[in-house]
Amino acid sequence: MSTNGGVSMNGGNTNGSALRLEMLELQDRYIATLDSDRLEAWPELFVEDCLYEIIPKENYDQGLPAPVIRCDNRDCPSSEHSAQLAA
Amino acid sequence: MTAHRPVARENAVVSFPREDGSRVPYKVFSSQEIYDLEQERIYRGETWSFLGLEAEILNPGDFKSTFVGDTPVVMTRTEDGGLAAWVNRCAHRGAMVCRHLRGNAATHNCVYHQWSYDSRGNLIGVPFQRGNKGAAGMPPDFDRKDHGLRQLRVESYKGLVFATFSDSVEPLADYIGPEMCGYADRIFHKPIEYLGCTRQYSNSNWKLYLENVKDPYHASLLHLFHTTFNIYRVGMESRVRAGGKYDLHSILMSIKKEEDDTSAAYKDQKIASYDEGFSLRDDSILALVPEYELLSTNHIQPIFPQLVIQQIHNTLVARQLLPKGPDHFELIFHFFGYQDDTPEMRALRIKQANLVGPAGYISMEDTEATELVQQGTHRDGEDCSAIEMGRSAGKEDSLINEHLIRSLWRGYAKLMGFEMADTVGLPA
Repeated sequence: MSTNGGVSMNGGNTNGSALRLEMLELQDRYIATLDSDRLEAWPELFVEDCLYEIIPKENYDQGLPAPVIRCDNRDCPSSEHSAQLAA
Repeated sequence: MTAHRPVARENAVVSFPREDGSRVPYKVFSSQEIYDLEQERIYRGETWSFLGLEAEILNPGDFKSTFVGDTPVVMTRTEDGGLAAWVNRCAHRGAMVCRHLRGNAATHNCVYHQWSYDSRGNLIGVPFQRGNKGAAGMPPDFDRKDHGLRQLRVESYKGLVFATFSDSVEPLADYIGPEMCGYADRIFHKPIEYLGCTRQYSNSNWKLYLENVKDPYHASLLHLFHTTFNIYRVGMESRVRAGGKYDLHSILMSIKKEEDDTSAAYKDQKIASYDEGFSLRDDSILALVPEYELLSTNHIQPIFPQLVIQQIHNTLVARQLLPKGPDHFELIFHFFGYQDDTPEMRALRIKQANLVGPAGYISMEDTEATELVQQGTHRDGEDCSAIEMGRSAGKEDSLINEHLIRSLWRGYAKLMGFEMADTVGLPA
């Protein structure tokens, strides 16, 4: 077994397992955040330069861009309150 | 003898107890009987219903399935580049012919018996019309010309496609009226490009949505986003006017003046939806690039009964309102831009699509509000809403006024043949 390669096809690679574990852990946090209605914490699960987009299939099939939601960076959906900033 | 009869006739479905339209019996939001009459007297009566944008069906054979009221209708681009619309019901045994939302087709075939129609709805093919191996087929007097799909009158105003069942309704431009045409021209002053649509379903009556888009009073109170980020506040200069057939259409515009400080009104009134502490981490969604002579943050223009033209900042939409029974409607947001948009302007329009639609920062609350009314009014059908704001001021250009809603109900009663008269002894 290689010790410095990427993910092997059978998933037996140590680095691949670690990455998969990390992804699952992120997904668990993502789901728990939404399920417990902690929406203000949700953007923190994204990297700064990200795209979050929901496009109706009707538009996607026609190659049209109109979205239900489209956020092209982490700050796009979030607001802040000056009282919190001051604290 | 007749003089002593009570005003409300025994056989009247509903009557409105004030002639100024300021009292609306709750029954009109949930009665199946009234809903069925609306299909006949409004959607199949002397009105024009919005089907979609010409930009959605650019090429010969392009089609879109939609509705006039709750009757399924298909709008098409014909071979010669014209527009057509027909009722989506086979002339043979009544099956829906077109089963696709959108597409391109030279002919439309009913799957049941393969009757075939052209893009105008003319019957062009009937399998075994002349029989087969001794079987007679259709009778000799069967003429395909007599068995086309039901074709509607179609007209376009600046790329907005309308249809009507009526042979007698005035031409579309007269129906919209010169003043309302002027406001539509403002938005449709150059060629547009269709950007796609979003759809939402509301558990409430279609007229509650029309009231909503004629209601400048709610906009800064219900919509936190509007008020907080200065998109719409009552102190703004505005246009609040009704026009067109029976004053059923209207315009509601809020105009941007940099020097305005409109926040004071909300601080003074301690309004819950105003909080000056909030700011957006990325405020690019609030950009307002001037595109028109008059710089408006909102242009909300319902053309009764199925269209609302909308400009909010730089996002442009033709909203289509479709009734789905007395207590449901579908709302379809058709987004568009101009053909000569720069890539940056196009990107801004797409970003500002976040403001409206089913998850819109602003418009999400509207169907929540209409559903609250639906739930609150499903009993006590003779009780009435009280639409009093600005009644003594008449038709003023003020955002604190409900005269467009009173005007809607007067026009509605006229179309429906409902009595609207001041009734003695009615509770205030």
